[in-house]
Amino acid sequence: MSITLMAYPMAFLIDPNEAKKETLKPATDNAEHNKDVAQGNLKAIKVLTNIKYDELPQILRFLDCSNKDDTSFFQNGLRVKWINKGKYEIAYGYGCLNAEELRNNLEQMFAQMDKVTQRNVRLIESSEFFYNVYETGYTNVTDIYANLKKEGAKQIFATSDDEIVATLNDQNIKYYKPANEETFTLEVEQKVQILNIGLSGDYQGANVTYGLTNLKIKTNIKKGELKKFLKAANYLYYEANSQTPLKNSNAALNWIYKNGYYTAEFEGSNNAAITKEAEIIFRKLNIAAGRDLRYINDVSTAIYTYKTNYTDKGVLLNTLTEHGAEEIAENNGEISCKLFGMEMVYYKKSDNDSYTLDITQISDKNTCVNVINDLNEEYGLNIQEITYNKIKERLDQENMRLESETVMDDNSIVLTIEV
Amino acid sequence: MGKMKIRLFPDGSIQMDTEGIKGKRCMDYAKVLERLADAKISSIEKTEEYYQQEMLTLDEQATEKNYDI
Repeated sequence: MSITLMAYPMAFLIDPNEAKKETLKPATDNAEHNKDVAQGNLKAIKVLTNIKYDELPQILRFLDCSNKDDTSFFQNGLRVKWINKGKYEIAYGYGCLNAEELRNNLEQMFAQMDKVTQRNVRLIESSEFFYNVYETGYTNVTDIYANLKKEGAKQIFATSDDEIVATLNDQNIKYYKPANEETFTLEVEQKVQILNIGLSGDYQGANVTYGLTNLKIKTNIKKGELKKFLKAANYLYYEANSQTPLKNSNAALNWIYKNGYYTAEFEGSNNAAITKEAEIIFRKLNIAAGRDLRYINDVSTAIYTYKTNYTDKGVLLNTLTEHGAEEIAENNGEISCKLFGMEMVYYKKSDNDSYTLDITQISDKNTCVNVINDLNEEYGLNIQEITYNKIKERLDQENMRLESETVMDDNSIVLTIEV
Repeated sequence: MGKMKIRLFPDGSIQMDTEGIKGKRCMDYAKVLERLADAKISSIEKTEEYYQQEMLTLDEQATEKNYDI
């Protein structure tokens, strides 16, 4: 022997032995790397409402605040500027000591408004829209654009108002420079879908129902998660009776643990109180957990992500087909498919990168890990076969002769070539 | 006459050993492998034979090529 070398085909991004260290991760891990910085720089929270312009003064009369021009001043330090856009008002909340206080005080204000109006004033076509507004140090669009590209943002556009909009980690974001300011402000959309939680009865207003004094919501919250999520969402948990006190004293919440998961049982004398409290707590818990905690078709809606070592689209498509993937489709550089009920999307963050895989509708994480391992094996076998054929076809061009080929016990193939 | 033994593993990785090729000439075959397999080299280990000088005779044309990875 004179040299021994290791190599890997360019259908891989890195050495396959190195790539084995990669693991399946929740997608929310990626979104939290700048959480502390974001909290420190939170300037304001903008919230869309369904309050009409002429309705607002009547509502504000019932709140403990003073009003001047278009701004409401609360004793707890909260300031809310009301901006009229078309038919409805937008609430721009600011002025508190820190991010947590701002969120809590705004939440309190909206709870009071809901009570006065007997409806969810933030509900807009089954969703609530709010935007976290951050200060940044950016002074020019070139730096913003470069960093967005680096972070893998998609659909980056510059608007005619000198703003930059993009989609990053499935969130819509916008950078803009307010009048008379040197640096850009960042707005991040936080859309929260209020799902139909299976209520029966007639509806009054946007989302008030009759005929309900008991509501049970099945969740995918496991033991050990409940207290953590409740604490992060600023709710208490009384272990003695498995209860969480709610803001509205007309409603109560009991947690029932069964078959590995918790069910949230709401009860009360007031239908509006129950439904409202259910919406509020699940909105906050979902944000704390980074996933929808309500069972939908008995499947978790968590998104997991995995960095593959695959660079070759053709080999990937063949591998998915051979493995029985269904509904394989290509769209804008993304490859999507379904495998064992899971929805999978492969995409490249940049041209020179390998494919990243996002997976949703996972019923069991172990199954998901096994599927990924199986796909890795099949991709590797496909590459082995392709490499074998390439070498044999190209020997003539190098004036070389194949002396022998042997299949080993570990299914490796040894080609002995005379040079 | 020298030999290249190319081992193709089921995970797609490749190992190559050269035999009977002395001196720096064996490094040329790393480039050959790259061409044959559309591959990148991730590591090289030089064995004793590498450090042995190839014998040259007066009527042989031999050129040493510099090879850096």
